[in-house]
Amino acid sequence: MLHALAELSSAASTAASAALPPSFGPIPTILFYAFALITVLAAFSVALARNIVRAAVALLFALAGVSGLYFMLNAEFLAAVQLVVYVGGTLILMIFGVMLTTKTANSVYDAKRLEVIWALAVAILLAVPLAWLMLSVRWHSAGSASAIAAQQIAASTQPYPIEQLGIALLDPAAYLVPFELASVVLLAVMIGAAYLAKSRKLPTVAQSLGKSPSVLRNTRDHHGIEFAAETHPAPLPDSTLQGKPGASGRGTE
Amino acid sequence: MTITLAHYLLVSVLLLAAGIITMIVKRNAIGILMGVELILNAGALNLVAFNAFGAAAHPATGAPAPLDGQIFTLFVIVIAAAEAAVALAIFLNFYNNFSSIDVEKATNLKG
Repeated sequence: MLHALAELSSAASTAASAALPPSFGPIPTILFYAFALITVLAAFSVALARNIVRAAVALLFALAGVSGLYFMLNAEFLAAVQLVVYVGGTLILMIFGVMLTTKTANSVYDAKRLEVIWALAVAILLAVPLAWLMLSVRWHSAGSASAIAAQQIAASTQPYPIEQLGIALLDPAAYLVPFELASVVLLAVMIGAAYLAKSRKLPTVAQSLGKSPSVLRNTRDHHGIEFAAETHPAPLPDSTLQGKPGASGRGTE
Repeated sequence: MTITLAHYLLVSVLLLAAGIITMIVKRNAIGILMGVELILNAGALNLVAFNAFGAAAHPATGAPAPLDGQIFTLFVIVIAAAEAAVALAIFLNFYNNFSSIDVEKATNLKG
Protein backbone atom coordinates (compact mmCIF):
# COMPACT_ATOMS: atom_id res chain seq x y z
CA MET A 1 0.00 0.00 0.00
CA LEU A 2 2.75 2.40 1.02
CA HIS A 3 4.85 1.31 -1.88
CA ALA A 4 1.97 1.93 -4.28
CA LEU A 5 1.40 5.33 -2.72
CA ALA A 6 5.04 6.24 -3.10
CA GLU A 7 4.97 5.11 -6.68
CA LEU A 8 1.86 7.18 -7.28
CA SER A 9 3.37 10.26 -5.70
CA SER A 10 6.58 9.87 -7.67
CA ALA A 11 4.55 9.45 -10.83
CA ALA A 12 2.59 12.57 -9.90
CA SER A 13 5.78 14.50 -9.26
CA THR A 14 7.29 13.50 -12.58
CA ALA A 15 4.01 14.42 -14.27
CA ALA A 16 4.08 17.78 -12.53
CA SER A 17 7.68 18.38 -13.53
CA ALA A 18 6.77 17.48 -17.08
CA ALA A 19 3.79 19.81 -16.99
CA LEU A 20 5.94 22.71 -15.91
CA PRO A 21 7.76 24.28 -18.79
CA PRO A 22 11.53 24.03 -18.31
CA SER A 23 11.81 27.74 -17.68
CA PHE A 24 12.61 30.21 -14.97
CA GLY A 25 9.37 31.34 -13.40
CA PRO A 26 7.78 34.49 -14.73
CA ILE A 27 10.77 35.63 -16.79
CA PRO A 28 9.55 34.19 -20.13
CA THR A 29 6.16 35.81 -19.62
CA ILE A 30 7.72 39.17 -18.84
CA LEU A 31 10.04 38.84 -21.83
CA PHE A 32 7.15 37.97 -24.10
CA TYR A 33 5.19 41.02 -23.03
CA ALA A 34 8.25 43.24 -23.39
CA PHE A 35 8.97 42.01 -26.93
CA ALA A 36 5.31 42.15 -27.90
CA LEU A 37 4.98 45.70 -26.58
CA ILE A 38 8.12 46.84 -28.41
CA THR A 39 6.96 45.21 -31.62
CA VAL A 40 3.42 46.57 -31.61
CA LEU A 41 4.32 50.08 -30.48
CA ALA A 42 7.11 50.32 -33.04
CA ALA A 43 4.87 48.97 -35.79
CA PHE A 44 2.21 51.58 -35.08
CA SER A 45 4.79 54.33 -34.92
CA VAL A 46 5.95 53.22 -38.37
CA ALA A 47 2.37 53.77 -39.48
CA LEU A 48 2.00 57.13 -37.75
CA ALA A 49 5.45 58.66 -38.30
CA ARG A 50 5.34 61.65 -40.63
CA ASN A 51 9.07 61.60 -41.25
CA ILE A 52 10.25 58.63 -43.30
CA VAL A 53 13.56 58.39 -41.43
CA ARG A 54 11.70 58.13 -38.13
CA ALA A 55 9.53 55.44 -39.69
CA ALA A 56 12.69 53.55 -40.67
CA VAL A 57 14.04 53.71 -37.12
CA ALA A 58 10.69 52.52 -35.75
CA LEU A 59 10.77 49.66 -38.25
CA LEU A 60 14.17 48.71 -36.84
CA PHE A 61 12.60 48.25 -33.40
CA ALA A 62 9.61 46.39 -34.80
CA LEU A 63 11.82 43.92 -36.66
CA ALA A 64 14.09 43.46 -33.65
CA GLY A 65 11.03 42.82 -31.49
CA VAL A 66 9.82 40.15 -33.89
CA SER A 67 13.28 38.63 -33.64
CA GLY A 68 12.88 38.53 -29.87
CA LEU A 69 9.53 36.79 -30.28
CA TYR A 70 11.27 34.19 -32.44
CA PHE A 71 13.68 33.62 -29.58
CA MET A 72 10.72 33.10 -27.25
CA LEU A 73 9.33 30.51 -29.68
CA ASN A 74 12.55 28.45 -29.57
CA ALA A 75 13.46 29.49 -33.12
CA GLU A 76 16.96 30.75 -32.36
CA PHE A 77 18.34 30.36 -35.86
CA LEU A 78 15.40 32.23 -37.33
CA ALA A 79 15.83 35.02 -34.81
CA ALA A 80 19.48 35.38 -35.80
CA VAL A 81 18.57 35.34 -39.49
CA GLN A 82 15.91 37.96 -38.84
CA LEU A 83 18.46 40.21 -37.18
CA VAL A 84 21.14 39.67 -39.81
CA VAL A 85 19.01 39.83 -42.96
CA TYR A 86 16.20 42.19 -41.99
CA VAL A 87 17.75 44.56 -39.51
CA GLY A 88 21.24 44.39 -40.94
CA GLY A 89 20.39 44.14 -44.62
CA THR A 90 16.92 45.06 -45.78
CA LEU A 91 16.51 47.97 -43.42
CA ILE A 92 19.90 49.43 -44.32
CA LEU A 93 18.94 49.07 -47.97
CA MET A 94 15.74 50.99 -47.26
CA ILE A 95 17.57 53.75 -45.43
CA PHE A 96 19.92 54.05 -48.40
CA GLY A 97 16.85 54.24 -50.61
CA VAL A 98 15.42 57.00 -48.45
CA MET A 99 18.65 58.95 -48.62
CA LEU A 100 19.00 58.52 -52.38
CA THR A 101 15.45 59.57 -53.14
CA THR A 102 15.01 62.67 -51.02
CA LYS A 103 16.64 65.99 -51.74
CA THR A 104 16.38 66.79 -48.05
CA ALA A 105 16.30 63.77 -45.78
CA ASN A 106 13.44 65.26 -43.77
CA SER A 107 10.86 65.72 -46.50
CA VAL A 108 7.34 65.09 -45.31
CA TYR A 109 4.60 63.54 -47.40
CA ASP A 110 1.48 64.11 -45.37
CA ALA A 111 -1.47 61.82 -45.85
CA LYS A 112 -4.84 63.18 -46.81
CA ARG A 113 -7.57 63.04 -44.21
CA LEU A 114 -9.66 60.72 -46.38
CA GLU A 115 -6.74 58.29 -46.66
CA VAL A 116 -6.35 58.21 -42.90
CA ILE A 117 -10.04 57.42 -42.46
CA TRP A 118 -9.85 54.71 -45.09
CA ALA A 119 -6.76 53.21 -43.49
CA LEU A 120 -8.32 53.13 -40.03
CA ALA A 121 -11.55 51.67 -41.38
CA VAL A 122 -9.81 48.89 -43.30
CA ALA A 123 -7.45 48.07 -40.45
CA ILE A 124 -10.19 47.94 -37.81
CA LEU A 125 -12.55 45.97 -40.05
CA LEU A 126 -9.81 43.43 -40.66
CA ALA A 127 -8.10 43.32 -37.27
CA VAL A 128 -11.12 43.16 -34.96
CA PRO A 129 -12.76 40.08 -36.52
CA LEU A 130 -9.36 38.42 -36.88
CA ALA A 131 -8.50 39.07 -33.25
CA TRP A 132 -11.92 37.83 -32.15
CA LEU A 133 -11.47 34.69 -34.24
CA MET A 134 -8.00 33.96 -32.89
CA LEU A 135 -9.08 34.47 -29.29
CA SER A 136 -12.28 32.47 -29.56
CA VAL A 137 -10.97 29.41 -31.40
CA ARG A 138 -9.79 26.71 -29.07
CA TRP A 139 -6.46 25.87 -30.65
CA HIS A 140 -5.21 22.33 -30.77
CA SER A 141 -2.60 22.60 -28.04
CA ALA A 142 -2.95 26.22 -27.08
CA GLY A 143 -4.49 25.63 -23.67
CA SER A 144 -2.23 22.86 -22.47
CA ALA A 145 1.22 23.92 -21.51
CA SER A 146 2.07 20.28 -20.81
CA ALA A 147 2.15 19.39 -24.49
CA ILE A 148 4.57 22.20 -25.21
CA ALA A 149 6.67 21.31 -22.20
CA ALA A 150 6.76 17.69 -23.29
CA GLN A 151 7.80 18.82 -26.73
CA GLN A 152 10.54 21.00 -25.29
CA ILE A 153 11.79 18.15 -23.15
CA ALA A 154 11.76 15.88 -26.18
CA ALA A 155 13.57 18.53 -28.18
CA SER A 156 16.28 18.81 -25.55
CA THR A 157 17.24 15.18 -26.10
CA GLN A 158 17.09 15.48 -29.89
CA PRO A 159 19.71 16.97 -32.17
CA TYR A 160 19.78 20.73 -32.19
CA PRO A 161 16.99 22.41 -34.18
CA ILE A 162 19.61 24.13 -36.32
CA GLU A 163 20.97 20.74 -37.33
CA GLN A 164 17.43 19.64 -38.10
CA LEU A 165 16.88 22.77 -40.20
CA GLY A 166 20.05 22.19 -42.17
CA ILE A 167 19.21 18.57 -42.83
CA ALA A 168 15.69 19.50 -43.97
CA LEU A 169 16.99 22.24 -46.27
CA LEU A 170 19.43 19.90 -48.02
CA ASP A 171 17.20 16.83 -48.10
CA PRO A 172 15.99 16.09 -51.66
CA ALA A 173 12.79 14.70 -50.19
CA ALA A 174 12.14 17.86 -48.20
CA TYR A 175 13.25 21.36 -49.16
CA LEU A 176 16.28 20.98 -51.43
CA VAL A 177 14.49 22.18 -54.57
CA PRO A 178 13.01 25.35 -53.01
CA PHE A 179 16.38 26.03 -51.40
CA GLU A 180 18.20 25.90 -54.73
CA LEU A 181 15.43 27.87 -56.41
CA ALA A 182 15.82 30.55 -53.77
CA SER A 183 19.49 30.90 -54.67
CA VAL A 184 18.57 31.26 -58.35
CA VAL A 185 15.96 33.87 -57.41
CA LEU A 186 18.52 35.79 -55.39
CA LEU A 187 20.97 35.77 -58.31
CA ALA A 188 18.28 36.95 -60.72
CA VAL A 189 17.22 39.67 -58.29
CA MET A 190 20.80 40.83 -57.86
CA ILE A 191 21.32 41.18 -61.60
CA GLY A 192 17.87 42.67 -62.15
CA ALA A 193 18.20 45.23 -59.39
CA ALA A 194 21.62 46.32 -60.60
CA TYR A 195 20.25 46.68 -64.13
CA LEU A 196 17.14 48.56 -63.01
CA ALA A 197 18.99 50.94 -60.73
CA LYS A 198 21.44 51.92 -63.46
CA SER A 199 20.55 55.25 -64.97
CA ARG A 200 19.54 54.93 -68.62
CA LYS A 201 20.29 58.55 -69.44
CA LEU A 202 24.02 57.93 -69.62
CA PRO A 203 24.39 56.65 -73.22
CA THR A 204 22.40 59.53 -74.68
CA VAL A 205 24.45 62.01 -72.69
CA ALA A 206 27.66 60.46 -73.91
CA GLN A 207 26.40 60.72 -77.48
CA SER A 208 25.49 64.36 -77.10
CA LEU A 209 28.86 65.23 -75.67
CA GLY A 210 30.08 67.53 -78.37
CA LYS A 211 26.74 69.21 -78.97
CA SER A 212 25.96 71.36 -75.98
CA PRO A 213 28.12 72.12 -72.96
CA SER A 214 25.09 72.96 -70.81
CA VAL A 215 23.84 69.38 -71.09
CA LEU A 216 27.26 68.24 -70.03
CA ARG A 217 27.22 70.40 -66.92
CA ASN A 218 23.74 69.29 -65.88
CA THR A 219 24.50 65.63 -66.18
CA ARG A 220 27.75 66.00 -64.38
CA ASP A 221 25.83 67.27 -61.36
CA HIS A 222 23.64 64.19 -61.21
CA HIS A 223 25.91 61.40 -62.31
CA GLY A 224 29.35 62.73 -61.67
CA ILE A 225 31.16 59.51 -61.03
CA GLU A 226 29.61 57.42 -63.76
CA PHE A 227 29.94 60.26 -66.19
CA ALA A 228 33.60 60.71 -65.49
CA ALA A 229 34.15 57.00 -65.94
CA GLU A 230 32.23 56.93 -69.22
CA THR A 231 33.94 59.90 -70.82
CA HIS A 232 37.57 59.09 -70.27
CA PRO A 233 39.38 59.54 -73.56
CA ALA A 234 39.88 56.27 -75.33
CA PRO A 235 43.39 54.86 -74.85
CA LEU A 236 45.71 55.28 -77.74
CA PRO A 237 46.02 52.32 -80.09
CA ASP A 238 48.99 50.12 -79.44
CA SER A 239 50.58 50.89 -82.79
CA THR A 240 51.06 54.54 -81.88
CA LEU A 241 52.71 53.62 -78.62
CA GLN A 242 55.21 51.18 -79.97
CA GLY A 243 58.72 52.47 -80.27
CA LYS A 244 58.12 55.46 -78.02
CA PRO A 245 60.17 55.69 -74.82
CA GLY A 246 57.20 56.04 -72.41
CA ALA A 247 55.15 53.21 -73.91
CA SER A 248 56.17 50.44 -71.57
CA GLY A 249 55.82 52.64 -68.48
CA ARG A 250 52.27 53.56 -69.42
CA GLY A 251 51.04 50.00 -69.15
CA THR A 252 52.28 49.53 -65.63
CA GLU A 253 50.86 52.78 -64.28
CA MET B 1 -0.08 33.17 -16.55
CA THR B 2 1.37 31.18 -19.39
CA ILE B 3 1.79 32.55 -22.85
CA THR B 4 -0.42 30.71 -25.29
CA LEU B 5 -0.65 30.58 -29.04
CA ALA B 6 -3.39 33.23 -28.99
CA HIS B 7 -0.98 35.79 -27.54
CA TYR B 8 1.38 35.43 -30.48
CA LEU B 9 -1.51 35.48 -32.93
CA LEU B 10 -2.78 38.71 -31.37
CA VAL B 11 0.64 40.34 -31.79
CA SER B 12 0.59 39.16 -35.39
CA VAL B 13 -2.86 40.68 -35.96
CA LEU B 14 -1.69 44.03 -34.59
CA LEU B 15 1.40 43.89 -36.82
CA LEU B 16 -0.85 43.22 -39.80
CA ALA B 17 -3.12 46.16 -38.92
CA ALA B 18 -0.12 48.48 -38.51
CA GLY B 19 1.24 47.30 -41.86
CA ILE B 20 -2.06 47.93 -43.63
CA ILE B 21 -2.37 51.40 -42.12
CA THR B 22 1.22 52.12 -43.19
CA MET B 23 0.56 50.96 -46.74
CA ILE B 24 -2.55 53.12 -47.12
CA VAL B 25 -1.37 56.24 -45.32
CA LYS B 26 2.15 56.64 -46.72
CA ARG B 27 2.65 58.51 -49.96
CA ASN B 28 6.38 57.91 -49.95
CA ALA B 29 6.96 54.73 -51.94
CA ILE B 30 9.59 53.50 -49.47
CA GLY B 31 7.07 53.99 -46.66
CA ILE B 32 4.71 51.66 -48.51
CA LEU B 33 7.54 49.15 -48.74
CA MET B 34 7.92 49.38 -44.95
CA GLY B 35 4.24 48.51 -44.60
CA VAL B 36 4.77 45.47 -46.81
CA GLU B 37 7.65 44.37 -44.59
CA LEU B 38 5.45 44.68 -41.49
CA ILE B 39 2.76 42.52 -43.10
CA LEU B 40 5.32 39.91 -44.15
CA ASN B 41 6.62 39.82 -40.58
CA ALA B 42 3.09 39.32 -39.27
CA GLY B 43 2.65 36.32 -41.53
CA ALA B 44 6.06 34.91 -40.65
CA LEU B 45 5.36 35.28 -36.93
CA ASN B 46 2.13 33.34 -37.46
CA LEU B 47 4.01 30.52 -39.16
CA VAL B 48 6.62 30.25 -36.42
CA ALA B 49 4.03 30.43 -33.63
CA PHE B 50 1.87 27.71 -35.15
CA ASN B 51 4.96 25.58 -35.63
CA ALA B 52 6.12 26.03 -32.06
CA PHE B 53 2.73 25.33 -30.48
CA GLY B 54 1.16 22.97 -32.98
CA ALA B 55 3.96 20.61 -33.91
CA ALA B 56 4.97 17.96 -31.42
CA ALA B 57 7.50 15.19 -31.34
CA HIS B 58 6.26 11.93 -32.73
CA PRO B 59 4.74 10.06 -29.77
CA ALA B 60 5.77 6.59 -30.91
CA THR B 61 9.12 7.00 -32.66
CA GLY B 62 10.28 10.03 -30.71
CA ALA B 63 11.22 11.83 -33.91
CA PRO B 64 11.69 15.55 -33.26
CA ALA B 65 8.90 17.97 -34.01
CA PRO B 66 8.90 19.10 -37.64
CA LEU B 67 10.21 22.58 -38.33
CA ASP B 68 8.29 23.34 -41.51
CA GLY B 69 7.02 26.64 -40.15
CA GLN B 70 10.55 27.85 -39.50
CA ILE B 71 11.69 26.78 -42.97
CA PHE B 72 8.75 28.59 -44.56
CA THR B 73 9.67 31.68 -42.58
CA LEU B 74 13.25 31.38 -43.80
CA PHE B 75 11.95 31.50 -47.37
CA VAL B 76 9.68 34.43 -46.50
CA ILE B 77 12.72 36.36 -45.27
CA VAL B 78 14.67 35.52 -48.45
CA ILE B 79 11.82 36.58 -50.72
CA ALA B 80 11.23 39.75 -48.69
CA ALA B 81 14.88 40.75 -49.08
CA ALA B 82 14.72 40.11 -52.82
CA GLU B 83 11.48 42.05 -53.13
CA ALA B 84 12.90 45.01 -51.22
CA ALA B 85 15.96 45.12 -53.49
CA VAL B 86 13.92 45.12 -56.70
CA ALA B 87 11.39 47.60 -55.35
CA LEU B 88 14.13 49.99 -54.30
CA ALA B 89 15.74 49.74 -57.73
CA ILE B 90 12.39 50.62 -59.31
CA PHE B 91 11.94 53.53 -56.92
CA LEU B 92 15.40 54.85 -57.75
CA ASN B 93 14.51 54.76 -61.42
CA PHE B 94 11.22 56.50 -60.68
CA TYR B 95 13.07 59.15 -58.73
CA ASN B 96 15.53 59.68 -61.57
CA ASN B 97 12.68 60.28 -63.98
CA PHE B 98 10.26 62.28 -61.84
CA SER B 99 12.54 63.82 -59.17
CA SER B 100 10.05 62.63 -56.58
CA ILE B 101 9.20 59.47 -54.69
CA ASP B 102 5.54 60.42 -54.19
CA VAL B 103 3.36 57.61 -55.50
CA GLU B 104 0.65 60.14 -56.36
CA LYS B 105 2.90 61.37 -59.19
CA ALA B 106 3.15 57.95 -60.85
CA THR B 107 0.30 58.74 -63.23
CA ASN B 108 1.97 58.41 -66.62
CA LEU B 109 -0.25 55.50 -67.64
CA LYS B 110 -3.43 57.19 -66.44
CA GLY B 111 -5.94 57.77 -69.24
